[in-house]
Amino acid sequence: MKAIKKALWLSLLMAVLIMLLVPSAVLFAQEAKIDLSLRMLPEYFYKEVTPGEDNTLYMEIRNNGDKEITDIRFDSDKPEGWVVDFSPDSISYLSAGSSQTIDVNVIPSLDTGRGEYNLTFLAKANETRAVTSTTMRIESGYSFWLWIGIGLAVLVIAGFVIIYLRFGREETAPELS
Amino acid sequence: MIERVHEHIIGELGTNARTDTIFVITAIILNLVTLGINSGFASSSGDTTQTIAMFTFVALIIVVNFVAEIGLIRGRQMRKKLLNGLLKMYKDQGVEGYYDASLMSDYTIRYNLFMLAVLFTGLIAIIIPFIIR
Repeated sequence: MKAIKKALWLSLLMAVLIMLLVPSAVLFAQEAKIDLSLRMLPEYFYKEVTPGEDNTLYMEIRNNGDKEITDIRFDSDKPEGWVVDFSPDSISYLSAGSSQTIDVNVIPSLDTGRGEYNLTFLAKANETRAVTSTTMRIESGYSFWLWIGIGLAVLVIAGFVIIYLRFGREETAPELS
Repeated sequence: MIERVHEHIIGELGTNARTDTIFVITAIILNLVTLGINSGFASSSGDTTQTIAMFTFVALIIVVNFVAEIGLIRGRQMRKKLLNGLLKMYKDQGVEGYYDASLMSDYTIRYNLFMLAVLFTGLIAIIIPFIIR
């Protein structure tokens, strides 16, 4: 009888322990959430930039998780010939809930034509990665199409002059006397 | 008979003036319309189909402007020939003093100005879309 009572108490103790430990284990697992976000500051979306010049953008990296994130490196997917520098170019440690501003210096190549260009920025950490993108607008660049237009205009002027000389010379002086 | 010839020449001069007016107005209106269409193409996304359409309109501008220029040159020459005949007729009738022969050089200047107007609207219709693009 005593043994049965002991076993009962033991099983009750076990049940209480399970009830206490299982939820805390679940909770512990939730605390280990890893969430890294990278975003451009609002005024740096669709920004006008100048070819061959420094154009500084700012983006923010934030650790939204509950665990620190280590060894974050930055990289970019950019148009050919463009230079993109990050300052700082890497972050060794970003604690949970904290954020940091990253300066991004974009130098479009001098021969970049007018138009819109997409840039993608990546933050790669040991634990996770984050991506953001922005659109750069070039207004005053070298335009291939402008030269085509000028070439066509020159051809039209030349054609007009040739036609004028070719068809216009057949006239004879008026016979007035 | 001479009166019939006179009427015929005057009629030809009227037809000539109408034809030249049509050449000038058609060319200028077409240039302006094409300027609008090509500017629309140039400011849109700029895919291959739109580029082909844009160049087709440029070809149309070039052809119509050249046709207008040749038409105006021929019109000017025709007018000069008709006026020469008219002047000769006036001379034969002894009334040449009523018609100032310098009018013919004024017509030449006017035709050149028409051609210049057609040429410049054509050039603007060609270049502006490429500047926008």
